[in-house]
Amino acid sequence: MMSQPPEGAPGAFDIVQAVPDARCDLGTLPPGQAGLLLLERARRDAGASGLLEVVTRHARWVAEMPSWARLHSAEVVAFGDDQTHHRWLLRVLPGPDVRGRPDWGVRLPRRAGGVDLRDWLVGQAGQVAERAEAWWGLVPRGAVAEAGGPLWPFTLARREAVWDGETAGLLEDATRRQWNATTDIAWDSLPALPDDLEWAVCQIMTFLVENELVALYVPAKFLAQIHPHYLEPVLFLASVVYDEARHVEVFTKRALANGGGLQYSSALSAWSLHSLFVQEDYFTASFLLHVLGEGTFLDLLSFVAEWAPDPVTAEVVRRARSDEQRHVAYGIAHVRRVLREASQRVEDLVAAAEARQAYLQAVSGGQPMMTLALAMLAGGGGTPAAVDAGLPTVHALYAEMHRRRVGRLQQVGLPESVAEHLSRLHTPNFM
Amino acid sequence: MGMELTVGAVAYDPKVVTIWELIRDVTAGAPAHIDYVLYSTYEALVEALLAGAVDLAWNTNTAFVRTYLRTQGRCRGLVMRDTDRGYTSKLIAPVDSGIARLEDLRGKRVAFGSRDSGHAAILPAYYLRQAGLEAGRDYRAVPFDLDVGKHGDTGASEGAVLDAVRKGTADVGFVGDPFWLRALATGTVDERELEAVWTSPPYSHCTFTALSTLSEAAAQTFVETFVHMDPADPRVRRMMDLEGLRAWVPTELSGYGDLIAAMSGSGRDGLG
Repeated sequence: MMSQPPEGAPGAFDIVQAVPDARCDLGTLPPGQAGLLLLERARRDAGASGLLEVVTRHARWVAEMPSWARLHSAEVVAFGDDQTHHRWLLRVLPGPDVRGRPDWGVRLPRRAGGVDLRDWLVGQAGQVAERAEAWWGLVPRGAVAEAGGPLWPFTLARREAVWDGETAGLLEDATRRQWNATTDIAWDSLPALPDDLEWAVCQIMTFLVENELVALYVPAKFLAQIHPHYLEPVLFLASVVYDEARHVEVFTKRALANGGGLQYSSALSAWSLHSLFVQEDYFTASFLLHVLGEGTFLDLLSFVAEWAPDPVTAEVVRRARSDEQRHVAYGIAHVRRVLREASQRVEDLVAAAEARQAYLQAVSGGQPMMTLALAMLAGGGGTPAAVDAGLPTVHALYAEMHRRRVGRLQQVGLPESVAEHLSRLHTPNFM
Repeated sequence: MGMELTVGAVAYDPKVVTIWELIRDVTAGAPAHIDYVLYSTYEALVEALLAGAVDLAWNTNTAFVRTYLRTQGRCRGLVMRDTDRGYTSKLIAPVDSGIARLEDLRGKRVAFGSRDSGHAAILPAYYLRQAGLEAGRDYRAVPFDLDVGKHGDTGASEGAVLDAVRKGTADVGFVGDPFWLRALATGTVDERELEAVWTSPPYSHCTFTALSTLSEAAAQTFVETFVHMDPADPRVRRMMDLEGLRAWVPTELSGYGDLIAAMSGSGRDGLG
């Protein structure tokens, strides 16, 4: 495999029939940090059992290379020099830090709108494994991981549990539609309202803030459990968390901005949200929160936007609703895909919804303050006549919520009878 | 069922406890279950091995040869780190000092590491004697006897050697090649300031040592357990990183000839 020409011959130490896997030309650098760093990269590039050719014009390396090779799991296969050049051919022994070669030459396509997440599944970065190993940890998908690192306790580490091809598009949408609760709302156009209507708005805002907080904490909890190999759902849930943070902010601001303030919270809300907060299964939690809860919220927010007594209230719920639509789309896509791959998981959804309903049956009282506030909004005030006039509209909202919930449940792939059953079990708290 | 073997080692650094707890942990299901006892010096460890208080000792080359001489050769090295094979000592000098061979050290101030360090004192002095140079007569020894009893494991004396050459309080000095390469790689030595001008013949360094009384079966089981440790196991990887190896390999006994010669007869353990 090797031939060593006579000393001093031009091109001494030519390698015959051996093509190195990596080459390192140290130029005239003496042995020092710069040269050793270059050698280290070349060793990794050569890979396990690979051949590494090292060339230098500095004679001091002759004494240092055997030490370097010994301390870096490499064998000197051959050495030679002529008057000015010194060359080694080394075989890199398998080790935890030489485990494969990273990509080079990958280039993402350009869309008119820029570099798009929907196009980024290229090369090794685009290879989404069925199962992510604990030791991969935070190593970016596509990077070459050194073995022997810590085991990371990510519990959502199977592709089927978390990864959907559609998430990248939703994430692009999330990024494009971010807004600012301080400057994007025309706070200056908030008019003085009659006390009853201001109270109704403040009561609704109080309810929304409390509910949006669970929509922040639940995804945040599961986000931290998803293996970073499945980066798209991690990034998307991060956007959900930030969306909800913004909703909490903007609803609180609206409650405090106009001479009202935060109003009553009910035990029913607290228990209902708690029953979501304690969910430990990502699939069922995702279903209860995104499909049932946030889905129902879409109708609630539409109602508030429609009957809002001022443009600021209408604007904040309209903007929040636009974000929630994305969250619902994510939930529907996620649950639908899981059910497509494992139809028996329908039973888990039914069990989770039934368990939650049983949990909430113990709670006395309903949502009187919220119901009253919605009726006052629809009735245009707080007089007995106005409340009485508004209530049928609220009842119509509840009926509409049920009808559309059944529709969403059928969208995820549930048969109509199951959809009907689950919708009726849904919490009177909406979320 | 595995066999229990107790290894003695020297606590030259707090990380030694971590290393041996990891070894104890990873060998819990292995053919040889390893437990350990720590000693403060290699002299105490050698005595413990000779007295049968431990089954094996994780020895420096100096401690191995001491055991070898004390038992008239009735001991054996079993396993060593891959980095213990082909170990060398380096003679470090300021760049362009004009020193290229050991003979050039006549009349010079020569820095050595701890007097019980095989790589930074005993073997360098031996190679100088082989070249016809005696301390006091032909050169002036500048010893750095730091952490005596640890046989140079702490690296403290090698750091002092490099400092002395850098500051000019010694003309040259000896260190082991792992210390030297690490100093270059981390940039703690400026290669425009210092260079290695001579490299010793390769020799063997640390080794697990057993007396001949350890059964062949136990010795085999021990070797198997160590050479099959998988660095992909995070515990093994951490232990190997702390201990400075990538693989355990069978001990290369031929690599102790020079140190046996250096430590025989004269009773020298370094600079005398």
